[in-house]
Amino acid sequence: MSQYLIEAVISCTLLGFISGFLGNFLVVRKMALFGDMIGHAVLPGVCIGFFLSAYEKNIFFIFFGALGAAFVANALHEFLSNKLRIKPDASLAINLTGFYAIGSTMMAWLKDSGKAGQTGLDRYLLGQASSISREDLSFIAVLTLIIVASIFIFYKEIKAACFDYQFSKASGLKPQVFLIFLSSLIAANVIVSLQAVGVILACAFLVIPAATTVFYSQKLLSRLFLGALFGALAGFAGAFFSLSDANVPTGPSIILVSAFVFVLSGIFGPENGWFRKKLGTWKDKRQHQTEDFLRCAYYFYEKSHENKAQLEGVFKRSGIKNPKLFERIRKRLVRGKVIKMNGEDSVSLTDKGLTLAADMVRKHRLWELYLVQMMNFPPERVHANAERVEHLITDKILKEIEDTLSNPDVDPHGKVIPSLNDLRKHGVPGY
Amino acid sequence: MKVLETIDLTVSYKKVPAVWGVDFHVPQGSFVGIIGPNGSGKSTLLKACVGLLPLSSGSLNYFEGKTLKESRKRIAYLPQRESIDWDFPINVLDVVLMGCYPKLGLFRSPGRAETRLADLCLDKVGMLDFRSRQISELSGGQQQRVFLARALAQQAELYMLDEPFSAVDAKTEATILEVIADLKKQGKSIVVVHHDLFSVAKNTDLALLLNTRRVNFGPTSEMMTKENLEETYGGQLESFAHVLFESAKQ
Repeated sequence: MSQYLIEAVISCTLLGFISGFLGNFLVVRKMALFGDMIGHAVLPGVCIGFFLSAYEKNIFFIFFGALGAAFVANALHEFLSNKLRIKPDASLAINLTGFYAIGSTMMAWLKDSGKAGQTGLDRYLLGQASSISREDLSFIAVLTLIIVASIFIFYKEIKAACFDYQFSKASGLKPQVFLIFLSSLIAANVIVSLQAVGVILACAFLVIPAATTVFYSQKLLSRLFLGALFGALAGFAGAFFSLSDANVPTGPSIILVSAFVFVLSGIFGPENGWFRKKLGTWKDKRQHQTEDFLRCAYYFYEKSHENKAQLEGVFKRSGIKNPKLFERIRKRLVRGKVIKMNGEDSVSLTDKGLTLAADMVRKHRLWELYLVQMMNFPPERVHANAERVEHLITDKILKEIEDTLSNPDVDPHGKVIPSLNDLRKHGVPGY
Repeated sequence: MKVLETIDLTVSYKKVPAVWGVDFHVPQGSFVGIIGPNGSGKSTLLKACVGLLPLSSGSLNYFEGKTLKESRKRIAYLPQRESIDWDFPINVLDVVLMGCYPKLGLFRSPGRAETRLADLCLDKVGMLDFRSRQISELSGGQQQRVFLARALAQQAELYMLDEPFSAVDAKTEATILEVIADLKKQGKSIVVVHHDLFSVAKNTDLALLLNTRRVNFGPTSEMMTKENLEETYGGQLESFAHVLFESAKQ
């Protein structure tokens, strides 16, 4: 790869780093659309900068032209939403599309003048990493340093302003100053990333990597770095793909990578990821089925005073409908040495199994008693509820119930509530 | 000493006054309740006092002749709980540490001393066990107690609390009252915006009855008259005011 392409890839990686970093502030402040407005609104500024620099693609002219346009758009948005009482989302949409329309018209004029075509002004629409020059790279690097340094220097003020504006203002932390400062940094970031992702997708570069962090951390500081990491990854991979196939503009390529990371994180992310949630439900369900199996085996033991239960009976009583599932649970329990088989169709609880089963039955019956005594449920209506709640009673709750009911021995249906003492009395081995 | 005195304070939204020509003051070490019906300008008054809303006319006098700007570090303001996004990625300890920000000034981060102070404040409101919890996992009452802990961490002299008792559980209400009593003992002053008349009648030293204009201001026991309450809560609510008055008397 040539020196020149390496520089382009480095630029996109840096841009991703800084966008993912700053984008977090848009996400926590619920201002993603603001980023979109800035992204689109800079287009007329880019054209003016281009025109003023006499059709040379001079980064300084273009940067300050775009920054000016961003400020005008922001001021107009404030005016529309605060003074004219247009709802903020409508005002953002008006500015976003309005400025983009002005920008594209200007662009068409510039193209007509015949000089824009060669210098690639239209690359600002969807981005083209190959148009990033060495001069641009140094500019991007300096800006990255400035942004990261200033966020850290004023981290506590910016955090307070984002979290609780009223408190910050009343305490003299000057949130208005810091939020304007933050918006300016975001605008500057959007402008320098235009050559990589273009005006249309600029907002996605800020928002998607930052939104991805929601699936990993609940800490703002970790989210800043994770966002930077995801952004850098997208910038690097996106630029790489786009540069290896000249037909793909860099913007869509980068955004596709970050969207892919977002989807993967949504599925596998440790915080609220879909898979984690499902896994939790699966585990609970499995646990409940195991507990149901044991409780039923215990029921037969209690009835016949013999630690032996017919599989057929346990299956019918357990409420598990699917015979194959029941078979899987049985095998799992045998492997876990919780039950042992007596020939083909009968099972016994091991010591471990007996303790677990007695614990379940105790919870079940205590809960039934609690419903009847404390909540005045009729005894014939508590069983179904106890079937579900027994799985959810923790040791702490169990202790509370025991204390509230002062350690009863019999449930509302006259059945003995097993306790450690009971198990000893009944001669259960191991007690 | 008067820690706060307002003179002819008027605050307007779009040229319509929400608070009109209000005079009241907060003597040092007192607990002042601001009461009035919905839309009577209670929170507006408080916000104007801490500089969140511009004054249309009138003036604020802090600590006998100081301006608001000079007094900011001596005042702790507790916004309404609803003004915050409770999904913000931040934990309980970090929220309370924010109370230390004003005194730290620019460029300094909270350190060990601040963490100790924050823990102490969390302990006072019974939330120390929750210090590393995300704020999104808290109940409404717990959120309010964390907010109060942050105000305590400001180590102010005047505490301005906007509806701290709104929609909280009994335990939280008791904790807040305890903390306020404790602050009073240390000679600090407290202003509370409150919608519950009974609680105000029972707990505060001074009461400001507000209905855009000041209806009356003075020792709480003298304020709870039928005439005052009727005027505050409006003619159409006469019977309601009567009930309130009868209950407040008891």
